[in-house]
Amino acid sequence: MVKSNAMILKFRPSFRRVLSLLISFYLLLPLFLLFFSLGVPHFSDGKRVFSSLNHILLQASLSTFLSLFMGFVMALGLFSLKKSWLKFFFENWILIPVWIPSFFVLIGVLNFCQNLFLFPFGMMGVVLLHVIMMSGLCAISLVQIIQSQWCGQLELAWIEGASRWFFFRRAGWSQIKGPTGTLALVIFAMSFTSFTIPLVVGGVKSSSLEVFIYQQFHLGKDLDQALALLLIEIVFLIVVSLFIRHPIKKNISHHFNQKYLSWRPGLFFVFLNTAIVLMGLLGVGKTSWSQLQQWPQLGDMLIKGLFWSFLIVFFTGVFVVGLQCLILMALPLSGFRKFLLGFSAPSGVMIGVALLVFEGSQHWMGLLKLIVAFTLIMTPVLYRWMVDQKFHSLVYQIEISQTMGASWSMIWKRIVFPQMAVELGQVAGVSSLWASGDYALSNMLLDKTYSYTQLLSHFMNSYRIELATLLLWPLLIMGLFFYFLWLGVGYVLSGKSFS
Amino acid sequence: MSLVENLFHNYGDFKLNILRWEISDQGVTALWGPSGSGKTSVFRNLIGLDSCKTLRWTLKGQDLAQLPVAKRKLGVVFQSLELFPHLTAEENIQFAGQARKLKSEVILEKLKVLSQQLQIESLLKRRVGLLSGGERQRVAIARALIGEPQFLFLDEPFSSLDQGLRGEARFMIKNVIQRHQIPTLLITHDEADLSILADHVVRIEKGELIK
Repeated sequence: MVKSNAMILKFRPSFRRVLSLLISFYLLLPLFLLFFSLGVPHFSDGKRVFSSLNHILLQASLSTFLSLFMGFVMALGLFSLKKSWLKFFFENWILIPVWIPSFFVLIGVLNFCQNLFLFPFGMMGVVLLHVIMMSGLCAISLVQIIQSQWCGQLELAWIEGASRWFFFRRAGWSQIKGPTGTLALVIFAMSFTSFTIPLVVGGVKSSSLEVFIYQQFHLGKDLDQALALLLIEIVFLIVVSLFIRHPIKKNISHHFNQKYLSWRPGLFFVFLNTAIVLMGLLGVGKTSWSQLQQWPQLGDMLIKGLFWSFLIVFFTGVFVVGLQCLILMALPLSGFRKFLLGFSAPSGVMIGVALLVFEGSQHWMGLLKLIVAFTLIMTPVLYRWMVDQKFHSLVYQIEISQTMGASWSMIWKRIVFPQMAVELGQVAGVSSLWASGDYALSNMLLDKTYSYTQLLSHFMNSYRIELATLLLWPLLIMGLFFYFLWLGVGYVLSGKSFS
Repeated sequence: MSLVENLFHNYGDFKLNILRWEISDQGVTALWGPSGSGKTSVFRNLIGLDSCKTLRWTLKGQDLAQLPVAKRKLGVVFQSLELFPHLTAEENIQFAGQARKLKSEVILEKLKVLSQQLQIESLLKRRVGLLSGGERQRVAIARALIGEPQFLFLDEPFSSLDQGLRGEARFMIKNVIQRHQIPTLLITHDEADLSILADHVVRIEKGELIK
């Protein structure tokens, strides 16, 4: 009797192991598809590859250097803020370009620049957009690095009368160079493999590895070369992830006098960065309305596009949160957790190319492939960012529930879900918001008439940027609506115990 | 008497090495030792949270080590208490009874008795986050006892209380354990716990029991 009971109950941990294996297989699926369905990787046009890689390296290096420089200037500006509410406001303000989908940033910046009769296309356009998107992230990270590494010593140096430059040269730099190097590597990797921005403004010459692969695969139909480039990208991402082992320390509670570091003019750049994007998005004049009236047949297309985008945004939220729930059901298995924390999702192009193995890009098949692609891209990053830490704090509660004899479903329904609902709501909200602004993956996986962003890209390609900006708003509102909707659902469900 | 045999566990930098240990099935047995001596590791292995393939733990003719955690019928109070913060005190206690699939009328009856014994009747409807350290500890004890455990584990149960509250808490817990007559293993490094609570004391050092 005892033995049979034990066997029945031992089913649960093995069920969790099977579930964790299935989820791991699903997350690795694009890599399996790529290497079992495509040809033998080799470079058919080595000269072009070399020249393109040079171009991409230059773009990524410039983007990294300028983002870090601007980030440092903005960090000094943030140090000049004394009131905590102002600091809170500006810290969130400069993260807006990181937070909203890059397609929205792209249209905002292009519209702003157009009003100044500037057209930032080609490599400089890509670098400018990368700097606007990433310098806020750099600023916040640098503030954290400086606060965690310098605080006490900085005050001491100030008291002893050392100049800022003297402190930086003799003591400061050696302490922050490690985490700053890590940050630079992250920014470099993001610029090197960026997709949407170089795809739209990069011009004929590939400005990122992702676009280069996309061009080889989609336009040149050179599958072997595309596969060879994918291999380079995988190796590059593995090497980067090996270097990003030691995390940037979190902000510590010790307060220190920031006057020594503050530089007020930096605040101008803090304000300007996001203001460019928002002014661009809000800068919709008479021209755009008159352009809209020139397209009487546009209404039907837009409504159809909005409907498809609505499905994409809604179901991406549902699928991503569903997968996170499955992950939570399979945890806490330490090996699976290590996998989730260490696994970096394949890039958008890799996933897009892999899913093209499955035929059909119209109607529901295209929609399904797109949503699957979003879950593959977003799941690992959102798990690490929003779910893991909170879930890990529940492990002892789960253990004590097990000692009480609680079943797996009882623990899930009454302990885990009620306490994770807010985080799951955030996951769904962010994934819906990001999906609302997707352009690149839709372009690969959907028939061209479906996605709303693809319609907008037609206007951008014909330099009707103001019209594209005007038409962007319904999409932005939809993305934000779903973001707050999921967030609200999470808050409503949090703390509710389901018996 | 319950018998623990072959409790060997290599944690890398630390080893548990207990060949044979008889734990009384009456009263409170204290496992006493300094920090890092392996007390909590013994606790986790016996409960089944850390797995030890060689372990045999015979209680009432049954090898508990062969059973999954949920089937060992243990009551546990962790050092950090680990109450469920989103539930009220009452819901926390009821959860353990429901987990053991007790009938709801049995749960209500036991809840009533335990809340009287532990003087928590007025706290039952409050969320545990609003309770003081001493109140939270009493709720954790009630939660551990409501599922009719065959063995109770207390891991440094007074460490989160300030000195003034500890004496009162020790007497209250001793009283409740005596009433319920549940064999108890108390993990502690505090000698004051031994004098008030323990009927038997076993010392542990560097993962080994000292005779």
